Amino acid sequence: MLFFSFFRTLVDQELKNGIEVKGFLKSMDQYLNLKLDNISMITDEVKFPQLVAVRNLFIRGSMVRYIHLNPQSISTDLLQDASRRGK
Amino acid sequence: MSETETTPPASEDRREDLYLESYSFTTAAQIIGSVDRKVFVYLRDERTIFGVLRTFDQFANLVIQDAVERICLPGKRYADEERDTYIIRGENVTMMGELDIDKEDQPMESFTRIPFKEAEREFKQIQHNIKLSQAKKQEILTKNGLVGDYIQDP
Amino acid sequence: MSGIAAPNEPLDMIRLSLDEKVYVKLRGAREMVGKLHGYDSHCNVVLGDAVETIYEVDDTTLETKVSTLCGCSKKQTRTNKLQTTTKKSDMLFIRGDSVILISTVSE
Repeated sequence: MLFFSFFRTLVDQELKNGIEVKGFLKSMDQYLNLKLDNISMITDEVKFPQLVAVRNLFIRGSMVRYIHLNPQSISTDLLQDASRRGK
Repeated sequence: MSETETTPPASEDRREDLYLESYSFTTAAQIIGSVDRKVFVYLRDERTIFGVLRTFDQFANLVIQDAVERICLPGKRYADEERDTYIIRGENVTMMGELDIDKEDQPMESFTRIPFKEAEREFKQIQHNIKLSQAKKQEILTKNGLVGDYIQDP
Repeated sequence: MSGIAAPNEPLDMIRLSLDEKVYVKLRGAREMVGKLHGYDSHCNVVLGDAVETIYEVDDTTLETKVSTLCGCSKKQTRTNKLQTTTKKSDMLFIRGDSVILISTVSE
């Protein structure tokens, strides 16, 4: 649950098996499924021509490898404390 | 960042739990706005389906009406094939996006449409080649103590 | 077993590494070194100032390997070289399912 509550507050950029997507994190759930707005493809423009017309994107959490975060929007101290306490 | 929410005083623990529990429907909350709208679904086997999203559940199982499968190939070629209604099991979904129907044809204007059978054959060949080279690469990686990307099922 | 500070479950080891530099080995032939800021029971991890190393098999190496295999001269296949790419990220969340191991790095 930790990361679930932690992410809820962040604006994100995100990356996935071979595909990299950038966007504004609109919401996420306990499986870390993500919903992004204002998306743009960092790679594979050719493979996804239809993305020009996409308004928002739902990404299944299980397909995510990394999420790049904005360091300014994270309090590392609080995150470390929360990790220590677990849950 | 409102981190205060993650550090509730003990007395509020229970309230916090309830609060988080109420989020268990958020998979739904994320997709519900796209119901009865035109969407595209990108599947784990790299296929792309277009259609109208009719219903879904917490696993992201989807029902897509008037589905169209589209294959895009290198060299700005594409092929469409109409399918009926698709029930997609959630685990196969990589991503799903809502389409702006005013803009949806725009990117395809510069593409040439080719017969679906032809496109499918080429697409399968490409995927097969990728799989073969991945398997060979994995052999080499294993010797170096590395684990490659998940090799997808046939 | 009753040691106060002694770790009694694997994740306690990770807790001791918080705010330290760690090495994370990942699926997808990747490695990562960075400062551990957060983790949970799924091994989801947040790293700061992360440096990622991606190992890739050279495509040309691959061809030689295939041809030598057919020619039954297996010895040459030993000389396969891996290409590495490095990427940096200021703050990175790694999904736990791709984590193979987490270890501390002595500086």
